[in-house]
Amino acid sequence: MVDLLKAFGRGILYILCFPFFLVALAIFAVIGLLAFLFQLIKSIIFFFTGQKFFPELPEDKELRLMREAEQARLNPQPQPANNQPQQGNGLMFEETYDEDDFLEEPTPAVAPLPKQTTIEEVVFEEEPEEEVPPTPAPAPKVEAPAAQPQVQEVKMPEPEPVKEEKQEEPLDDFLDPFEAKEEPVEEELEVYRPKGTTDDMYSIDDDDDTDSGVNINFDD
Amino acid sequence: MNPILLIKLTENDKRVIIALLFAIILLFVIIGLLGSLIVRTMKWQGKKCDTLVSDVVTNHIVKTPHQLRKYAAKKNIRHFIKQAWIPIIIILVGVATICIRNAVVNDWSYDILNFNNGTENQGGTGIGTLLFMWDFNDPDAYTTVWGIKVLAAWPKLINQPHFSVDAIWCYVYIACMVVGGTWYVIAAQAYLARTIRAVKLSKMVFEKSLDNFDQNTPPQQPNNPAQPM
Repeated sequence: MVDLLKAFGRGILYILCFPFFLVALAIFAVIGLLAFLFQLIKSIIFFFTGQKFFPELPEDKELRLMREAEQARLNPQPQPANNQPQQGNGLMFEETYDEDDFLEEPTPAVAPLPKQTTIEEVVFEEEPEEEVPPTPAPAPKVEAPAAQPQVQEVKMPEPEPVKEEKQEEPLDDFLDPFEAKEEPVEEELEVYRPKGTTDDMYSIDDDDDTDSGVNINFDD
Repeated sequence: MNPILLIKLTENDKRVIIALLFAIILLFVIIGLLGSLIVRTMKWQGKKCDTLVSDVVTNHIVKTPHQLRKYAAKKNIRHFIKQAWIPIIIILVGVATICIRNAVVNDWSYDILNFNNGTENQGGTGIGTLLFMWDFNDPDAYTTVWGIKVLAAWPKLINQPHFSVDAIWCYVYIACMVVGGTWYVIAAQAYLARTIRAVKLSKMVFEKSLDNFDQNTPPQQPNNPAQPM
C-alpha cells in the first residue's frame, strides 16, 4: 500500500515535471543536431586536410603521453624480447646468442627419439649393417638438446662434424631422463627376437645413431 | 450552513465517485511507474559518462570540476554524434524518398499525412490506408439528450488497413521517420542523461569530507599512495 502511494505521488510529480523534461529533451536534440551538422562540416575539412574525424583532445593526449612514459619505465627494452621468438630457426642468431635462450625456444624437440616400431622393422626386415634412413621430422628437433651445457662448442656451422657430435652426446644426455620410458622397449625386443638367436648375435649401438633414432647392428 | 454539506449523494453517485477516484489513482500510479522506468533508464544511460571520463579523472589529469564538466561535454557530444548518425541518415532517407517521389511525379503538393484512403478499401495515397477509420461525421451515430448532441452508437467503419501501391512513398517515409525519430530521441535522451551525470560527477568526485576526520589522529605518511583526492 505504501509503495502504491509512493508511485501515486511520483505520478503527480512526474506529470508536473514532464513538460520541463520534454523541453530539455528538445533542447538537447536540437543542440545535438546542430553539433552533428557542425561536425559534418568539420569532418569534410578534416578529410581534405588528412586529420582524424575526431581530433585528440588535450586531456586524452596528456593521458596517452603519461601511459607511454609509464610503459617505457616499466619495460625499458621491450624490443629484443619481442624479436626473440621470431628467430626460432637458429640461423639468425647474432652476437647476443645465449644457450639458455636457445634452449627455451624449440621446446617440442624432446619428442622424436623413441622409435620402437622402427626398431622392430629393422630387426626383422632390413639388413643389419644398413643405417635406418633418417626421417625428415626429427632432424631439427635433435638440435635442441645439443645446446645443453655440455655441447657448448657446437657453435660453428660446419655441417658434417657437428652432425656427428650432435648424435653422440645429446643422445646420452637425452636418454637419461627417459630411461623409464625405454624399459618397455627393451622388453619388447626380448619378446620379438628371431628364433635361434641369442644376445651375443646382435647388439644395439647407440653411438652410431643417426638422426632418426637407433641403429642396430648384427654381429655374425 | 455550508452548501457543500447540503449535497445529498445517492448510493449510485457514491459508487461513481469512488470508481473515479480509483481510476485517477490508478492513472497516476501508472504514470509514476512509467516515470520511474524513464528515470532508471536515464541513470543507466548516464553511466556511460563514467566510462568516457574515468581515465582522465583517475589519472588526475583534470583537477577541477570545471575542467571535468568541460571535458565531459566534449566527450558526450562526440558520443552523441557517434550514436546519432545512423538515425539521422534514416530520417534523411525518408525525406529523400518523398523528394524523389515529388520530383518524379512533379507534384510538390503531396500531403504525406493525407487521408485519401481510396474507395472500398482499394487505392489511396496516404498513411490513412494503413489505419482503421470511422466516420464520425455520420449524423446517424449521434443522438440528442437534453439538447446536447452526444455519440450514441459506434460510427460506421469507412476504411480498413490495406496496401496501396500509390502510397508506398508514404509508407517508406513514415517507417523511416518513426524508426529514425525514435532512435534519435533515445540518443538525445542518453545525451541529456550523460550531461546530468557529468554535472553530478563534477560535484561528487572533487568533494572533500571531514566526516571521519579526527584532529587527534596523527597525519598520514606523505608517501602513502592511497591518499584520497
